[in-house]
This record gives sequence, structure tokens and C-alpha cells, in this order.
Amino acid sequence: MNPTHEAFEQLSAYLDGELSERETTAVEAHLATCADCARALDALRATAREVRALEDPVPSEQDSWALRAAVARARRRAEQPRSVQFAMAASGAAAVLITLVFAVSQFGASDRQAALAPEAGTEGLTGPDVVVTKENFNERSARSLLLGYALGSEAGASAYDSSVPAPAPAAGSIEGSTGVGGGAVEDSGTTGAAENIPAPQALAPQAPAARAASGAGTGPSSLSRRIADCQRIEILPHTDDRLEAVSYRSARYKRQPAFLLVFRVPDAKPARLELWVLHRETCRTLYFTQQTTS
Amino acid sequence: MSETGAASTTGGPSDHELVRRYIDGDARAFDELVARFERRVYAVAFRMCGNPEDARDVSQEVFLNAMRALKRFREEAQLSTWFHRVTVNASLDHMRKRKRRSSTPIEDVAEQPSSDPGPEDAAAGAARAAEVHRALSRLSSEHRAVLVLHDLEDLDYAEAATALDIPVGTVKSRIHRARIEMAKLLGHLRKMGETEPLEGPEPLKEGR
Repeated sequence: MNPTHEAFEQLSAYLDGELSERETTAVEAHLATCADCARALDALRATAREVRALEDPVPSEQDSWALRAAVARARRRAEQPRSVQFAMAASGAAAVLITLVFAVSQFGASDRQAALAPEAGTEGLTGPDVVVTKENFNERSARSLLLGYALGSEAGASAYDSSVPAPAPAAGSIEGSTGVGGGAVEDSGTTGAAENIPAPQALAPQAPAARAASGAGTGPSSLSRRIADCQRIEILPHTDDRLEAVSYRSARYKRQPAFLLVFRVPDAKPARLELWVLHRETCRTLYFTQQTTS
Repeated sequence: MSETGAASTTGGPSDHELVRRYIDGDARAFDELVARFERRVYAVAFRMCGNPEDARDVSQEVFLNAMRALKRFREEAQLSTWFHRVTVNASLDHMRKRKRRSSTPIEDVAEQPSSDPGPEDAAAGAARAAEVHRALSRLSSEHRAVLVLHDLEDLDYAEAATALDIPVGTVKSRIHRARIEMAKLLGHLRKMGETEPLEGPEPLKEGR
């Protein structure tokens, strides 16, 4: 056995202090006589040093938040009976987490370039004429984006834009569509309890177009049925804060079937807007961003 | 990362204590485990997968998996070892699945900013770090795993062997091969005045 071969194979372990005393002595004796191995050792040492110098990447605040939310949702899902529960925030009902899904061009023959969130690079949602990033994410930009998708979506994409103001006392999941009340999901944007929400009115002119584009029923029951049809969609709150659904739809995120959701958290200090993308089948959080509302 | 069973630096409950509490039904104990291990899991996932999106996905998978798996956790194992193993495996699975969908161009993989930007030296340092990260991404997943666990997670050969469930001798040879590969990619071997980068023992026999 050629001692040169053996010594070379030991060099990393020698560098890492993993050799026995006897082996270490043998390697050191060899290094004293072999310039090539000495150079190899220098190269290995320099390499190890550069690798070790890599700093730990830090998960972004969004990532941390998404992780905790995913854990909270899994926990609540485990505590609930395994049935699809869908609820729209309405009077007397608790706030709900609705995932929005964008129908992207893959769904049909649409030429729209819309891509949900970044494939590489930009952190944000893009759609026709609107780019929503975590910097500019607010209710208006999100609505524009969703509306753009609603108008451009092909048949087969579920699109429903609703504004649901919800003076809900407590969080929790709501069964079926009985929780929907007060015409909360009317396309016109006006709802029973909409006195204090000016924004839905702005949606009114376009909403009929959205309905035409989706071609689907728009009442609360058809909504919940549509959601229920989509595999195992379990929609559960992830926080004890009251949630107000702003809008949602289905879409694809990085080629995965997903739901996209926008909702308000008015009781949070400061009040914020959250944007979620959940995998349609596993409900795993694919993307999340939030913005305080001024 | 917390030591085996030892109390955290703040004098709080040990990892094993938290797992016990979680098994007994204390959900907050699990949240505490998330807080303790989140960054370590993310760091390993990031170095294994090469980008923040996959690191985030893998982190979620790891902790969601942990919610079930920790109920059967046996206390003779270190929790950190357990998280290392699960994160490496989840990263490998994730990368295999991604390969079937689309491949992430290696050039798009950027070094994640971790500290504040400084003067020009820092910019050069960051560029080099990105190169090192890219070189890591080009290793085979087996080679990358041992380097990540040993050089970045500070596990010794025995600990890495336990985490990866392979013999210590395999760890030793993989680290050596991985470093040689990295040395070539990073140009350390080329600087030795040889016209060919070192392949191994053979070139050593030439001349001298």
C-alpha cells in the first residue's frame, strides 16, 4: 500500500482533528517530506475556512410568520373534525381565513403573463398592470390585482371577489354557509353591514364583469360549494385576531395549485393586511406577506 | 443550538423537557421548540437547497412533520441531531421533487443577505460568499450534506455519522471528496502551480 495515497486520503480528517495520535504523527511525518501533500493541505484548509466563513442565513420575518401560522393551522386542524369548514365573516360569525387562488394563464388559453409571486428574484405578485410587492402591498393594490385576474380569467378558474365586513366578536371556524349573512357576498359590493367600508363601493362597477368572466354562481352557498369541491380545503383561522376577508381566488403559484387570500386584521395593533398563498391540496403556506394599513 | 438535554443558556427547560411537555399536551412547548430550532433548520435547509424559497418550504415541512414525529421521540437521541437528520432528509426529498418540476438555475441562487452592508470590503466578501454558496450547490447532495453538517453546523464526524445514519468512515471520505471538489471550484487547487488541478494521489507521483 502506497503510503502517499493513504496520507493524502487522511488530509481532511487530519485538518479536522479526527485522526488518532498515531495516525496524526504518521501524516505529519509524511507532510514534512511531501510538498504536494503540503500544498494539498493548504488548499483544503483554505477551502474549509471559506466554507466555515459562510454566515448563517436568517429567515425573513415573513418566513417566520408563515412557519408559525402553518404550525397554528395544523394544530387547529388536528383539533377539529376533519370536515371541510368554510365560513365567511358575517355578523355573529367568527373571522375566517380564506385563501385566494389566482387563475393564471396556465388554466386556459389566456395570454396573460400573470405569474403569481416570483419565480426568481422579485418578491411579489404580478398581474396585468399591477405589481404587488411587500413594499406596496395594500388593500388597493391587492384589489386591483385580484380584479385584474377576475377580468382576465378563463372559464375553469374560480374567481370571486367579495368584501366582507365583519364585526365578529370572536375567532374560530364557522360551519358551512350558514355563517354568511346580511348579503355579505353580494357582487355589487354592498353588504348588510357595509356602512363603514367605503372600498367595496369602488368595486361595484367591475364586479359584474368579474361575475361574467367566472361564469359561476356567486351566492354564498355556491361559493362554499366551490371551495368544498377543491380537495381538502380546510380553512381555519391562524390567529385569535378578528379577520375580515377582502377577497380570494384560486391560482397557480410556481406551477402549484394554490389559493390566494387577502384579508384585513383590523384589531391588530397596528391594523394590518395579510396576503396568503396556500397550496390548494395540502394548505401549506407557499407565500405570505403583510402590511400595516394606515 | 441547545446541548443534549441541557438547559438553554437562559436557564429554561431543556430540549427533552420541552418534548416531554409537548407529548403531555402542552402546545406552547412546541412553539418554544420552534423558536429554538427555527433558525438552525432554516440554515441547513438553505445550504442544502440553495435558495430561500425552498428553505422556507422545507422548514415548514420539518416542523409540521415534527408535530407528529416528536410524539414518538426517544430521549436517548439529541433533539438537535434529530432536527439535523430530518432537515437534511426533507431537503433531499424537496430537491428530488423539484427536479421533476423545474430546475432552478444555479446562477439565480444568491447568497442571502444576513448582516448589514458595509464598505467595499464587505461587498467583495459578499461576492465571494456567493461564490462559495454556489460551489456548495454544485456538489452532490451527499457531499453537500456532510460539509454542511460538519463545517457549518459544527458536528464532528461521529455526530454527523449519527445524523446521517452512515458510518463514520463514509463521513470521512465524503468530507474529503467534497473538499477536494470545492477546492477545485474555488480555485484553491489551481493556485498550486500545477497545470492540472489535483485529482488525487496520482499526480502526486509525478516528478518530485
